[in-house]
Amino acid sequence: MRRLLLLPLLFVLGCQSAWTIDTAQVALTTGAEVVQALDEHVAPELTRAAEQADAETQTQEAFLERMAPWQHVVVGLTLTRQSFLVAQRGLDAWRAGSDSQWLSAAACILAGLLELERALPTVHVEVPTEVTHWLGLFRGYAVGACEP
Amino acid sequence: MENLVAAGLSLVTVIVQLIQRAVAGDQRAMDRLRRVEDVLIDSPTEKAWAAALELAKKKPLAVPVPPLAPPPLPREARGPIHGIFDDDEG
Repeated sequence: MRRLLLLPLLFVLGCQSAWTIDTAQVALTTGAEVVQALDEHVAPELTRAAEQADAETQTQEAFLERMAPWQHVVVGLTLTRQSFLVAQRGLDAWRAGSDSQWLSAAACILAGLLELERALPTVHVEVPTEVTHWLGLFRGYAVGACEP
Repeated sequence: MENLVAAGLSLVTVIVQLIQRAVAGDQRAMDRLRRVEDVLIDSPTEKAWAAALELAKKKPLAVPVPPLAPPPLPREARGPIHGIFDDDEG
């Protein structure tokens, strides 16, 4: 709940380019908590799907075909996690005097979240409201394209 | 005198509670300023995916085909035909 209350405030601050380093750190940390919670929620669902696919398919090809939608979820989560880690380094650079890395890292966070938003419904996992909020936040803040 | 001691103790209790709340508030503020790598410690989903890939590796690439029936023996190897024409030939 605290996160949901915090997000509109961060969104307004982000759109007005009035981020401070501490505000940006709160945004990153809170976003990372959302991603970690989603990761922990998705893992048992993936395990169940894999066990079911294992029981119901005979070949490697059929198994992988059945699990293909999950692969997109894993890619989205991995990309998002890495983007948050890169953004943290960008924030460190900002502390040292340059905010350009931080700005470009937001584009990668947006790319990862968009991939998740596309992939989660295909495996019948609901996109959490907080992810949708974060998409709004980084849509307003991301600069340029993600170039990992 | 006893009332004064009781009131004093109550005051101390209230002060201790206030300090505890302040410390907890500071802790929450510090939590919000944690670094990303302290939050994203490990990925259970990546582990689950790795386990799924292990399941895939144990499966055959193609469905095993049952062995074919042996081919029929050549005509000579099967011996004479026993039928309606046997008496005529003999």
